[in-house]
Amino acid sequence: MYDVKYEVRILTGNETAAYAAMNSEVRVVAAYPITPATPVVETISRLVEDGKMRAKFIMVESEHSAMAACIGASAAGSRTFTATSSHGLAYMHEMLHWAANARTPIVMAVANRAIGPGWNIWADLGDSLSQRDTGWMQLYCSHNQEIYDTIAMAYRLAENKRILLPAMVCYDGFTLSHTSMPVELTEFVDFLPDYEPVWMLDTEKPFTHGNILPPEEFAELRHNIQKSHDRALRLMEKIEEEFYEIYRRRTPLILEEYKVEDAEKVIVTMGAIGSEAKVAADSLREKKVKVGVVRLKSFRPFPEKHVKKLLEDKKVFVFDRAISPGSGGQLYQELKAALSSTPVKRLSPRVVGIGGIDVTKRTFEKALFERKIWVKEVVS
Amino acid sequence: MKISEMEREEYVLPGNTACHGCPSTVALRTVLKALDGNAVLVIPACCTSVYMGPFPNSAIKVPVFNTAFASAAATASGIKASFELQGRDTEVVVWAGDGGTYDIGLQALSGAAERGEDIIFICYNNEMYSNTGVQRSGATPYGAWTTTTWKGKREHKKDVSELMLAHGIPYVATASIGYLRDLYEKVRTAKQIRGFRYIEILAPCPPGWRFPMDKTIQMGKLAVESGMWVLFESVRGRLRFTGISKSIAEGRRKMKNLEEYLLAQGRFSHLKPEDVEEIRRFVLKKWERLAMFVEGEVDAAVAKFYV
Amino acid sequence: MLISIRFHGRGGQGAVTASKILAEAAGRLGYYSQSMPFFGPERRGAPVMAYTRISDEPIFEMSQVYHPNVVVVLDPLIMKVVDIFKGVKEGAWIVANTTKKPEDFIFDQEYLNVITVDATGIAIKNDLLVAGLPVVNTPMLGALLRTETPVTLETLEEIVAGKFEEGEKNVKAIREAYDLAEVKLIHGLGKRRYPRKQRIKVEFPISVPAEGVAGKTKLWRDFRPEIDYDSCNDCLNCWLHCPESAIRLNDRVEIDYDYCKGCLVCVNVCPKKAISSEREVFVDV
Repeated sequence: MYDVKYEVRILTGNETAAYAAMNSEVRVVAAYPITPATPVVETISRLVEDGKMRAKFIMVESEHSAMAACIGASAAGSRTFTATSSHGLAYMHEMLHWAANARTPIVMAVANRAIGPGWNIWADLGDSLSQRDTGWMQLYCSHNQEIYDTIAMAYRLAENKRILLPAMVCYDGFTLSHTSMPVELTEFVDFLPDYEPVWMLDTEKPFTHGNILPPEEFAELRHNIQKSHDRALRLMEKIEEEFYEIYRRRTPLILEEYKVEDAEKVIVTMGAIGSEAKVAADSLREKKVKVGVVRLKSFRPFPEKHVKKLLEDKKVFVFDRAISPGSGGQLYQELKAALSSTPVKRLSPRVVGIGGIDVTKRTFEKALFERKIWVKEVVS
Repeated sequence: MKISEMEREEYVLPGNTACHGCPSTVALRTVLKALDGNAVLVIPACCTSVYMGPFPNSAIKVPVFNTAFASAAATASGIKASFELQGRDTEVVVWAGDGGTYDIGLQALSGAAERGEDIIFICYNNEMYSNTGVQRSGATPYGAWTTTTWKGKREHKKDVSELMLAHGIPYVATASIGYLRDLYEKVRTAKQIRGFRYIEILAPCPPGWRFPMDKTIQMGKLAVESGMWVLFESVRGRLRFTGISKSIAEGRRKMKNLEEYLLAQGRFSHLKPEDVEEIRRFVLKKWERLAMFVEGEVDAAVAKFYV
Repeated sequence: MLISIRFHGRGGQGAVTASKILAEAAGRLGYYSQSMPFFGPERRGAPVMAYTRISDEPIFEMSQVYHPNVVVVLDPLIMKVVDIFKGVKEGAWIVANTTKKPEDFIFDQEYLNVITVDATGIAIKNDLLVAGLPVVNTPMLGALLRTETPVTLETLEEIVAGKFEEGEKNVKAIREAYDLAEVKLIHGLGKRRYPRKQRIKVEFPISVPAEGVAGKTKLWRDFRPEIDYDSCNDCLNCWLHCPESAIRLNDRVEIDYDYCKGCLVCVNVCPKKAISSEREVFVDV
């Protein structure tokens, strides 16, 4: 049963993202519509026009311009938000690099969708995973309440003076973006203070941002970004605790573990299928197979220490919902590297749900007991 | 207005890495003075983003936000939105070359103009990609040599100032570094208007156009005197010519010989007589088109395309 | 055998071209060679560097030259702003365009082979000018051949004759520089050098406004404008039109000679023709 202390509404993942931006006191939004993230843009538009959301909404003419406008607004001292997907995310790739190097704490909702051609509008994590080198933090959600909480937590992370990096909050297209679930619309006043920029454009103290940076200084800037990611992992633990203290809700920022301790086989995955995996784990336990799930929430920074601890001596099955051709699933590659000096009984890749193939508990069952890496059909 | 009445403070500092006789620094100096230094510049990749020098210093004394090549107008939109929320009246000014305006930056420019963003977009146009050497741009005129048009460009340039007229924005103006007082006044006028304002400044570039570095200002004058560059100003849709262009339009002054302008530049040194004729035809057509915009009315007698 | 040569010059003097010609000449004689410019934006008059490597075996180094065997200085002015002796080992060669003698050179190394030649004078004498300015890179290549660099005069002249319109004048200047160059083993101060680098903290890519981001750009001047205050009527046109902001408004307009690049735009905009120009003569080494 739900403790109806705060307002609870039945919202889609997209609507949730919009409400989260509103309650995080976002002041500038610059966004462009793209399936399946469009409703975020539409909802914010309504909220702003109705006067419920105190923000300026710039309806830019492309995603590249959306990110450029966000960077500008953030540099000028405002809390900024945008949302996109797939091709739109790819279009703004250059500006994603810019936002991270410029140290602008923007938060962006990404409704994960495959990149074509042929046009494919359904869930696939390849769009955001393709951006894993841009310097952005990446957090993958598995249900709508989590999307709501994570956006506020992302601002806490991003705006921290010792981090100052943008963050993307990702959720599976259609599976989460268009599915309605009850979401408690907590107000974040006690948790998220006003944005206090560490630097901002100011005529009183003029400076130039982003001019030529010689090699050695550039290397230091990049090293600082890496160090900020390291610090982010430590900060995430603190923020998780703080959020729980105030709201009595456990929203992970690093990862979620489910029945891992006594598990023989552990499913490691991200996003909505991580929730489905828990159902699969329970179902298999009924058949006397001890399965557990590690659902990675933070992909950037990659929580190497945490996964090493959890997966030692386990039979690990990594379920990727994307593929980096020429190498394999991205989660599998990174996990393999992280576990290179950790003794595991087995480390096997699996690729499921590409291009939006629906992933059911049977998909997991099938994949755990068959030798094939790819599952290319719905297993119902 | 008198030069002695102009703002004296320098916002472009000496000892920067611009070429000798650079028209961009000349123009930027005047523009920032006209804005009393109360501006934030948004600068995409262009000569200015390089000549302001490397970290840890910069040669520009107002806040500058460098941005990616295609995104100047969009970045400026974001900055202005934030300033408005904070109640700050600082002008947000894009300072872009013709690359970041005509070509890769065109989409963002058009989007911002259509949205009526309250920013000033200033293009200093040297009719090529100067910063990366001398490559052709959409603003490069017919017949000009560049490193990507060794035998001379075969296409005429497009005209973004006319495109901006078609966007119906409250202020569109063209200027030339040959007439800095005209430029100063136009920037002051733009400052008084709210909404999207566009100013395009002709910036003859000595190494790119191949003329001696001390002739920069002369070249800016010659371009206007020969009719190849037209000085105009459109306030809320009402267009009027200014300066020498006004005298030419009103028949009080003859256009100087086009050859005088073209052959003073090494980039046109290989032009054949038929090329010059082609350019002359293009220039005359441009005057005809602009004449139709004067006073904001289309002269039906001249408009041949009405059925 | 690997010989690395570092060229110092001012933008527009042909340091990069000289480096390439040398590499090409070595290549024609069967050596492996490499020519690389110092990567950075080049402007007329600004200090530039270029490197050449020559070896009888394939060259695998892809980095810049930090310990040259030969240093070529195309312009004596360079020595005022750049440390041309940096990284140079004992017994290396210095080839300098100057009217001074080898004995006039002072450096920390124990000893160096110093070659001096007045390449500017040779160029002017042979009418080897481009846009009114003397071409010094080719005669300097001639002087360079007095070092142990394994390139012959014939090969060098062959390439230069083919490359430039005024091929003959260049060849003549090369020969003259080769013959007139003075070569001497010079003893230095024998001091140890401990270069220290200032590290600047970089948290954000943010810079502060300052004059002289390119240093004192007076170095870029070939011609110097002078205001005749008797003719000047304070119209301020020169001040308004100066591309460098190098004309100050004091009691009267004054040219800031630390930064004036000598573009001479002011000369042309003055309605009273009160500004004249003449060749800039800096005191050289």
